[in-house]
Amino acid sequence: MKRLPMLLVYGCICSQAMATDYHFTGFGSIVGAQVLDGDGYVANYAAMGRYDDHFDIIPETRLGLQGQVIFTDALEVTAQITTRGSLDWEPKLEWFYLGYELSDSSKIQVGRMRVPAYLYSDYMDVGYAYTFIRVPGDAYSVDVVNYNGANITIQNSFGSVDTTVQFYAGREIQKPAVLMSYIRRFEHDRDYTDMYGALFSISYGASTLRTSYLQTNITEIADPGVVPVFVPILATLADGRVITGDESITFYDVALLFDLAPVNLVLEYNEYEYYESWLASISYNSGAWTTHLSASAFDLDEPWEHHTSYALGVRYDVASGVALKAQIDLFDDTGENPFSLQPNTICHCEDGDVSVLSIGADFVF
Amino acid sequence: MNRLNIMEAAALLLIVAAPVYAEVAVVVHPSAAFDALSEEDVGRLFLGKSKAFPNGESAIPVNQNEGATARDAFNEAIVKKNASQYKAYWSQLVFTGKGTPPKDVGSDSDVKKLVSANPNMIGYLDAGQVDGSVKVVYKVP
Repeated sequence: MKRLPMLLVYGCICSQAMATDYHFTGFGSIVGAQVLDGDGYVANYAAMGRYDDHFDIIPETRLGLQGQVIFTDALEVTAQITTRGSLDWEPKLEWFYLGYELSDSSKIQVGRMRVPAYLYSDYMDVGYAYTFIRVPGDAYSVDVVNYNGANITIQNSFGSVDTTVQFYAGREIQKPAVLMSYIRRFEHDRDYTDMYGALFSISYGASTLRTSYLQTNITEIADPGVVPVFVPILATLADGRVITGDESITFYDVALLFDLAPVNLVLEYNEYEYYESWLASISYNSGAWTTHLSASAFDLDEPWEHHTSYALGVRYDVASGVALKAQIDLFDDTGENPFSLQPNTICHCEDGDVSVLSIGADFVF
Repeated sequence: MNRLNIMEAAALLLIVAAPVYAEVAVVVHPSAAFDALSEEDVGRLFLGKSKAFPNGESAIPVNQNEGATARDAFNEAIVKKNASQYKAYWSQLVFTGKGTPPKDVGSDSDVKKLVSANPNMIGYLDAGQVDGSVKVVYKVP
């Protein structure tokens, strides 16, 4: 297939001597919320963004900056850094990869990417890209957000049918594992090894079906001094740290999208090794206004964690690249802790039922 | 004023008062090996779903700048998205390593100039601005 150098393509936007093209882009969300009724609300599991009954703009506010250098029309390097209030604004490398287009329909990426486990995984930080104020947390609790490895993506078209297939493999070490350290109440790292995944999506007209599969081994490593007495120690490492968990998990996800403008429908269901979760969302667009009604649920295969959420929200596109949002969430907690008999282990509180009011602004540039 | 003149005046008034939704033409280089594209072909190129024309030649779509009349008319009719939805769609791809949106290259005349100079480029402009330097392959109804 015929390819042209970027210089010819866009006329000369940079100096003749330099065949490199640069893109600098970014996104951000400033979100504030308050628990109206209840003890606490976890809005984002992977980064443990959570609210109490005082209005707060720290837990979900975030900024992402992305730079892309295009060396040739087939070869590029992209880096994206995010910073978020819930992780003390520490800059984190979210994406950093070398991309190479093998052809018009296939490409490889090598470096650090996001794990595309869920429908919204890749862009759940980019609030501007969707209608709700946040991707429903119930259905998005796999906390391994990134991997370091490689992927290959193949896109094909058969008449009006578009397909995308991606395979990826890699490893990620979380120091510490934010969500699981909170749930298990002792700080530990998680080493995700032998991570292999695949996704397949097919779209026809307004409908898209997306499926995703992930398998990985997870090793949990902690300092011996912080491990509670009831947690068995599986092995001691040479540096004195201990292994407190070692398991292999599989995960799959199925999502259906119907873009029947002005109505948009999203359904997603997933199964992790020992839980299931789902979300359903319907939205209606009229000019600059989009309203959505969403529901989501998480069901552990054990009695102590079950919750269902309902959300009603509105998005107003105030200017090109800026959207304002408001949303009410009702979180219905039906789980029970068999040890303490408290209903919810996530919020460590008596009754997990919560209602939350959130407002926010999302932007891209 | 005779009756004919009144009709003419009324017609003129209608033209002036009508919203400025001029017809938009999708154009390629005159040397392109094809004479027409379907609405779907054009839409797929501008949404990054396809990177080549149906005959296999690489395609480089270019946009007019944000706010241009032709851009809004094109997006509504072909891509089926308003300006914000179009931007939200591309932000799903840009920040996830899946693609780069068509470049914003300016106005009708800028598009015409670029497309007339590049056999791989595809753009759109006010149909009234079309001349022999480009080939019309689709007209927004």
